Amino acid sequence: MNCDEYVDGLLSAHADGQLSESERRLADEHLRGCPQCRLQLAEEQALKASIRRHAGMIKTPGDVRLRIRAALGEISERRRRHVGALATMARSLGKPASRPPVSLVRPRVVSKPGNSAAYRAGSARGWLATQVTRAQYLAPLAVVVITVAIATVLSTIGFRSMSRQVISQNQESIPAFDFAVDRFNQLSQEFTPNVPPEAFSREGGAYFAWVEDTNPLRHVSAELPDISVSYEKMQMPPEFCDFAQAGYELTGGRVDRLPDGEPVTYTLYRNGTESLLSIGLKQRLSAPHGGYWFGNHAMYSYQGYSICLTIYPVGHFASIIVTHGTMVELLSDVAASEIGLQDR
Amino acid sequence: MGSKPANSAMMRQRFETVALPHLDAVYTAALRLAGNPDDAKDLLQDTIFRAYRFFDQFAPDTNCRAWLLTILYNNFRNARRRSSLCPVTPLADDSPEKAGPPLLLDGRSCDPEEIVAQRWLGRHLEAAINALPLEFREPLLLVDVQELSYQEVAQVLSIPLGTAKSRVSRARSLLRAALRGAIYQPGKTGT
Repeated sequence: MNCDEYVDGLLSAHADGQLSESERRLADEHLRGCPQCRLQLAEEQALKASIRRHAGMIKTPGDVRLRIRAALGEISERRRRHVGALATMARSLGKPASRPPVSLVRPRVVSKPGNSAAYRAGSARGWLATQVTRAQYLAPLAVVVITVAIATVLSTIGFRSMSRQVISQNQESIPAFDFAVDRFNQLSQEFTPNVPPEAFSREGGAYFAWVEDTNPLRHVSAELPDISVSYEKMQMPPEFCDFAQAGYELTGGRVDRLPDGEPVTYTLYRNGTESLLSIGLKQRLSAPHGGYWFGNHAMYSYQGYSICLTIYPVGHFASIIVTHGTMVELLSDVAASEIGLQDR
Repeated sequence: MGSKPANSAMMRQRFETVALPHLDAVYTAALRLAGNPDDAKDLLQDTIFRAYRFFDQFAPDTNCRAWLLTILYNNFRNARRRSSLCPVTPLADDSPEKAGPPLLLDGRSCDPEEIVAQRWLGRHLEAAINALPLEFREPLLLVDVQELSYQEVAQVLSIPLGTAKSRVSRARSLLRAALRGAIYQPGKTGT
């Protein structure tokens, strides 16, 4: 072996300790008679050490570390709870409890609407559609059961008088909630989806939409099979609460941008008398004081409105659901829609 | 494949013991990839939660750091494909989260000349690493900083083993050349 062969073929791997036994023998043999290459090896090892020293590990910020540990604890706890809850529900509804528990990181399903059978076979949403169809007659029963359970729990912990008379009216102004209420008042009066309602279908109990090819979605609309994918394309939470379980009809979806350029999604539902607006924000919100926790949702009575705030630990998303209904009604609506999400 | 823990508490405990010690390694790589702390934090969290979700697929006798970094790189590629994570930009030198004393040789040296030399080397080395083409920088850092084997680098980057090996070698050659250039550049020596 000559110097060129050693330097070009073995030097780096030698410094990295990754020569095979036979390569190592060849390298050692060459180095014994070649001070020049011994020097090169020493330089290579020194360079490697310098890289490690100067471009080395960077500590994870403490808040991120804490958030991850907290979220892992929550996932673990939710898994434990949901396994039990799903088993109980399966027993009461006669369904097999074969679905995995919901994860904090929900699957993002991108599917082609054109191939319906393959799409359904391969997608969680297709599974959901089948389940929703199958359990259609059981859904009202499930809602009643959950509502009764929630009411029992709430009354047990002292919130017996939850009604339109607000139990804990937040007096202080909360900018995020002011924004949400303002948007609710505007959009519940006049809503122009840029994901048009006529593009939606209720195929198999799941919503689908082909986003119209107009701004602001022109650049992302070509291959979007449904509304939640259009939301995801804007790096927004793709979860699509099925408030049909709670008796609402989906009016439509809308993607806009806030003045700071961040995307915001609006999903409006109506049930004849009430409107319910779900807002998705890519912002770091923290839950204001005075809320009541239900899973990872914080419930508020605010300025005569009921608000459900959900903060997603991944990606700094927040969801705000606003309605004129009571907190108990909103809670049961969210619980009913959660059945769909848990099944996804 | 690893055996699935009997319950979520065991799963969490095992994950915390096996995977979380590599949090800094994943964050370091995420910061290099994303180019800014905000996107790096998102990338880190997404990677860790995804790893937790699929932890039953981790083979216990393999290198967990390499497994996590594979998920990280896949996440990054997917996110970049989906849209708008910024292309890789050099990491700022003044990152407040940077660990360890950069001016001393493992705390052993108090020799002013050596401190000056280390400061000079650190500044030029960082610049030279950032100036490397991405295809060479990634395998170099995975070997020298993350301490992965060539085989693991090939797995993380989805490239053949021979390619991983030759890119590390080429990256060091480029670095040596860049540092020699800095040494002999008039007016650029010293502090």
